[in-house]
Amino acid sequence: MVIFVLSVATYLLLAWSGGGIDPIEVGIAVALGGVMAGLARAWNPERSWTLAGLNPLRWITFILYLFLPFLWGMIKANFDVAFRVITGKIRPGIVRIDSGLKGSLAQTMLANSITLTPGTLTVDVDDSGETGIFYVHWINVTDENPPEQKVYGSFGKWARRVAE
Amino acid sequence: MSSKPYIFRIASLILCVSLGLMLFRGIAALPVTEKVTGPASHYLARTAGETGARNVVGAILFDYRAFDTLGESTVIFTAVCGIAMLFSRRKFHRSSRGLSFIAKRGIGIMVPFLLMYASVIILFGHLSPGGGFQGGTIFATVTVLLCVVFGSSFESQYFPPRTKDILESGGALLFSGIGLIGLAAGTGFLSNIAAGFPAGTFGSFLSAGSVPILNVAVGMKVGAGLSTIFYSMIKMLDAGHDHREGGGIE
Repeated sequence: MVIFVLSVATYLLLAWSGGGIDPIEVGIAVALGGVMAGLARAWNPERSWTLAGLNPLRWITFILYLFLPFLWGMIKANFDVAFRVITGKIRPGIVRIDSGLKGSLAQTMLANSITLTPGTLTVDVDDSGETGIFYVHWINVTDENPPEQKVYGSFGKWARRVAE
Repeated sequence: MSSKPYIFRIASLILCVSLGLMLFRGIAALPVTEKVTGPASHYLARTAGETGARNVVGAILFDYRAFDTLGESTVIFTAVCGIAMLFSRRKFHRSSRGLSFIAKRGIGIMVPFLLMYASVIILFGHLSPGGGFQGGTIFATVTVLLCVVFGSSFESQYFPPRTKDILESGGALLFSGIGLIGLAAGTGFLSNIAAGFPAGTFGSFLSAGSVPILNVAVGMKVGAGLSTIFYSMIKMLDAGHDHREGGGIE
């Protein structure tokens, strides 16, 4: 259902060219959205037909996350990495962090946030346990068994808020 | 040991520079005009009236030069046939299990958007830049992504090679069928408005006669064809890594 709504919205956004939208375009959008939802169902039969993924509170939180903590973290990390490139003060290594996140969407979001931030890179993930354990390549290992705050700041908290 | 690559590098540098010079001089020799001249002015002035399409390039591709486009898509068809014949002997041995669940989840979010984007590019080929070739390539990209992220056996399970064959042949049949309608109407192979296809209102979705249908046909052919090429080659790579013979997973 989430895929259906998002597909229809995507199609209408792409087809919209400043003016109005033809009724036939809405028809095509709904038809294609139905095909997408059917395909998603065929790929993963356990998908539920709920609208939970469209919870506006979560979307607003996600957008807030993108433009406040994530953007700020990116800016800080960019300057930090630039400083390390110039001065050569690096101590690269891979650290193991228990993210404490359970949902796969939250883990995906956190891993992508870590990778997008310069200086840190999610190398591998171990999801065999209860919570996802990340192996993160860190440009300046100051602590070989670091708390999550030290590596990726508040990203974990936000990922839990948005996607869990 | 290092002397030989050194010579090669010098030679390739000279080759690149002389080729670049030639191209640059060719561009400099082009006449600079303020006005559009020659066939271009003819097309720009008459496309809207003669075909009803807003995208002039699309109108040239699928109306004025539709026969040429049929030939172009036949090139892809021939390439697919050749590659499929070359690699048909190798049975599929094994496929990777794909990447981590993070990549899988990310692709799951991306794929619906990619498919919608490809559909819009194909369906709006007569109105905005794009068309069957471009949209078909995006469709093929989706199957390539699924191959990489989920492993090729997953991809072949959900997009069986047989389905792709049917799609590709269906596209070719659709294209030729539209052409034959023109022939039956007595106006020539692949004729558009003259053969009775409705021109519609200029700029709306339902316009330009047979151009959107031909776009869909070419999109089917290109999407299915490119993804068959990729799948055949990745199948060979997978088989090449496996030294056992005949122990295939079907």
